[in-house]
Amino acid sequence: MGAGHFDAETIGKVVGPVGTETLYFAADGQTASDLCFAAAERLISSAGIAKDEIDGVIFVSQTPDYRTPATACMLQDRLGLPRTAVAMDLNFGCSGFVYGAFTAASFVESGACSKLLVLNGDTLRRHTSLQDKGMAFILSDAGSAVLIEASDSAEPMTFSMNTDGSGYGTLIIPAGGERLPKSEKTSERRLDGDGSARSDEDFYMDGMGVFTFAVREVPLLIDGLASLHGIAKDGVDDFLFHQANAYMLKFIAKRAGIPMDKVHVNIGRYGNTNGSTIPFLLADFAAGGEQAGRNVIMAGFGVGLSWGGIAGRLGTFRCAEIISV
Amino acid sequence: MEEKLIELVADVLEAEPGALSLDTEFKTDEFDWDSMKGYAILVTLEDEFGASITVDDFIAAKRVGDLLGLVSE
Repeated sequence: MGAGHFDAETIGKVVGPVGTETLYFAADGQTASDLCFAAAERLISSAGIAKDEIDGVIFVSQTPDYRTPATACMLQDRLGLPRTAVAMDLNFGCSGFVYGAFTAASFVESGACSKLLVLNGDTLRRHTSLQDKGMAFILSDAGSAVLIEASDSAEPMTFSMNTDGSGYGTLIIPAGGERLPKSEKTSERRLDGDGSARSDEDFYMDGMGVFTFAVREVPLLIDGLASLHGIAKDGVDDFLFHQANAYMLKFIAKRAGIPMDKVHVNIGRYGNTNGSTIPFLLADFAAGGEQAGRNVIMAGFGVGLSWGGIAGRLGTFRCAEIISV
Repeated sequence: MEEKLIELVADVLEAEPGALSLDTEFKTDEFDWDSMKGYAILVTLEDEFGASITVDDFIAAKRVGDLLGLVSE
């Protein structure tokens, strides 16, 4: 991590409130789509899903294999999915699972598709400066796979999707796109006033901007979702929030008037895995036993700025264990 | 206003309000100070007092009483 760049006291002060204990780095040459491919194969084999019945794949990532084509197209081929499947990339991070699920559920609801894979994956460690105090100890590389399918017995799901593009610079990799192409200058790491160093090609997070955005918007999101779904906030059994950092989750719960024992936290085990945090919460949740019938609210928030949530009652869902590849 | 300010700051610091006064330096190890607590105090004060506090002003604040000036401006 950032060891070698910061002293132990500084690292302790950063890691303590963030709550990370173990972080994961992709191997050299291993991409987000590799991680998602492994997750999808594991899901398909463990749940006994017929590949020829999957009619869509949505890859949600900030780290695609190529600028073009869409990584989802290659995943369709690599996973052996039918040529009739729709395949698309969505460029989102910490809100990404909700965006993927929203898109897939909309396709199912419209009748266009019946079984879609939602693959969330990121390898942002490669784009993170180890000399950046705010970033070095938070992110993990990870991929996840979730199948969303049509079912006559499905419980209703309520989505709320939100955007504030005026905050685009709050979480950003400034260089490497059309607006600011990579150059010698963009690769130079510079010290900021806080003792961190990063270049325009590194992932940048305005810590205070993200914090104030999340702790203001997520409580409103929860209230709005509960109301839209027709459930009292007190009637929600479990809150599955993007694992941004442990202190932020605690503060969100406090401002939202939610008891912390209803808020699932596993950032210590996996780190902040961007769009995979909610799938990882679901996997840990399923590993804890039968969860059918529980009312849940999920919420993702981050780069965009974008934030969204899902309210619903869990049916029986099958989940493979989390693996390291 | 003073009492409310002390209560809000104490809540974020997870300290008893009686343990704080306007003279208390709050960015110290005694309160396990870190940047996250700073963000939490800043957003709490902005929302509770309808104030707009700049980061530079907040960084310059050392004692609880310094915050009083920021929320009453």
